[in-house]
Amino acid sequence: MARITRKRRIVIFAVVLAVAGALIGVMVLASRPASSDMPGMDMSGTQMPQSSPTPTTKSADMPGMDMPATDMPKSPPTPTTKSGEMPGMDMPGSSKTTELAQDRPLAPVLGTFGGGTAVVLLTAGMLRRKDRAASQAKEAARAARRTQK
Amino acid sequence: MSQDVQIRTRDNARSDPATDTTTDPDDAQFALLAGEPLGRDLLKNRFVSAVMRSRWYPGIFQIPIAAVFGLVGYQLLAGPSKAHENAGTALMWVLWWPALPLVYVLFGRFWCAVCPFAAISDFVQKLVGANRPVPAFLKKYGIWVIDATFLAITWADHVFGIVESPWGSGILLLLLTFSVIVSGAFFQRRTFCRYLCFLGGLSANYSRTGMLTLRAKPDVCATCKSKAACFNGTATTAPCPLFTFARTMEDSANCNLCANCIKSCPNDAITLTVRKPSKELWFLRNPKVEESFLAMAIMGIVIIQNVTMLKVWDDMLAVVERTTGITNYPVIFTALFAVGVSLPVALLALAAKFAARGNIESTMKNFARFGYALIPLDVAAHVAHNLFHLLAEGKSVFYTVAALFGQHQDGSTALVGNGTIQVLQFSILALGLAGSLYTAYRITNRRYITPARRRATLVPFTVLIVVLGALNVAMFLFPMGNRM
Repeated sequence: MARITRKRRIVIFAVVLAVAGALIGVMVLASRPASSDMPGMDMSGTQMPQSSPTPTTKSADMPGMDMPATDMPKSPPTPTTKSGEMPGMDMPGSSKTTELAQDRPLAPVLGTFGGGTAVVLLTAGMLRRKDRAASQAKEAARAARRTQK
Repeated sequence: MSQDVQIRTRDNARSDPATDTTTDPDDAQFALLAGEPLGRDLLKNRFVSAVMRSRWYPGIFQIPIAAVFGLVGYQLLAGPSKAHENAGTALMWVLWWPALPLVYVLFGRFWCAVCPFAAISDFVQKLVGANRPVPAFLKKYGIWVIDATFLAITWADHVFGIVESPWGSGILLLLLTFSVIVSGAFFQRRTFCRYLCFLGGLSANYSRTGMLTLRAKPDVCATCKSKAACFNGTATTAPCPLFTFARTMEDSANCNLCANCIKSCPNDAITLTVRKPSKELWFLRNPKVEESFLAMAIMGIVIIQNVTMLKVWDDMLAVVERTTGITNYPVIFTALFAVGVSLPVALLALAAKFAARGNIESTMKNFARFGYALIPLDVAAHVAHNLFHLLAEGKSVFYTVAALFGQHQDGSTALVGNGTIQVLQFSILALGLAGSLYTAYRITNRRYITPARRRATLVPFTVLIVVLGALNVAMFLFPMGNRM
């Protein structure tokens, strides 16, 4: 019996993992068709990464682009700490760090979070009231039965 | 032996479902073995006892930590968009995350007692909690959900760059917060922490190596008439948040040292003792496949995290692109991630298969039992990896936090030199390797009487531990890249 349970667990886990992976994979592929920011790739297309719409930070680091950094963000504490220049650290996600703060969809995200939370709290509160009312009714009925006896 | 030292009596010894084979000649002896011996009770110390019984514990830690997490959340969502300028990123990924495994080794699952998410869950529960019982599905498959979530978050970090993006980290925090709110609103106690938190899964495994352990005195509990006050709580003390009954507790995986049971026990039956790291693993009775799987998956994750920070990672990606023609990073990473995570799992399965030939037990039982032996190496590799972030990027915490107060400072982010970090990393790895080898030896000797069975079991798992240890040593030989 225990063996069947374990096998079931493993099968369910594998299926869940596969489905979740496939879903996320499809979403990723749908949203990021190009791999222009892939590390170690010879990018002949020279497309800019989708997630960094403005060349705000990286341009200063490019060879031959010795521009006076007028409105450039401040360089990190030491050149050695810049992840983009470190071996193996030019991960695709790092281009996201160049997003400008105003580009973040803060209002919709916080709105969704707040709205979702409100719905959850309201639903839970209603459930609690319902449960309490039910238990009070039960107790009242019990008390009534006791007094009748 | 002093009077303070207790030995767990045999009343806890019961047959192990994972090792139940009627034909096994060593079963009878194994069932009679005593549990983990307990050391000196720290609660005999007046100061420790006063702290643990205080109504301010653990809230006194929880409040400032929650405040710092509030700041982290604000910084991540609304602070500087560059990771190396964001105090939230520095506090979260350079200070908190790297320090966490160390906390588990020193204090067990103490972090979970002071975790701000737990505080949110408790608050929501008090406010609107419906207090429904934990769904049976979660009780049964919760650990697999944790396994899957852990893998998914690590995968998403590499594909979406969560760590490198304050916004991504902020979204992750919001998602976690929402999950905690849902769990706290509908279900009893800390259902999320016990059955859903990916960090909880990690901490449950790592806290087995922890040096602090809380247990009940079985002889006192046997005479208890308080209707499990340690589990259900009292009028003034909350019940055990992680659904653990102190009397039957055999491991520290689901004890966060919140001290509720200490406060509510009318018989002073709870003890808090210091023990050798990893000691609990030598006495495990009920090994679980899913926990072994998680241990190996974490090993795979650490390997992946290390590899992606090395120069060789670029070469690997280039090779995959050349041989397959696939240029999509998420697809290539997913394939390499799957291989990286599966590798330790597959190696353990292989070792279990070899061991099963000589020790009569099934491959699955061997997998479940000896996955725990890898936990010390697991923790060591994780700590060694995180040590790099903590020591090579530690000053970024000061820089970014100082910047919040208008103090802009420049300079290296390293707290110590690379040489020192590497020496520390190799020392920790050596300790982990020794811990894993010794744990495998203890588990084998405890479980099997026959020398032939012991040999047949120990050889494949020793080889596995040495191979995984060597793999980690090789990776730490290369210079790693910073993320701040």
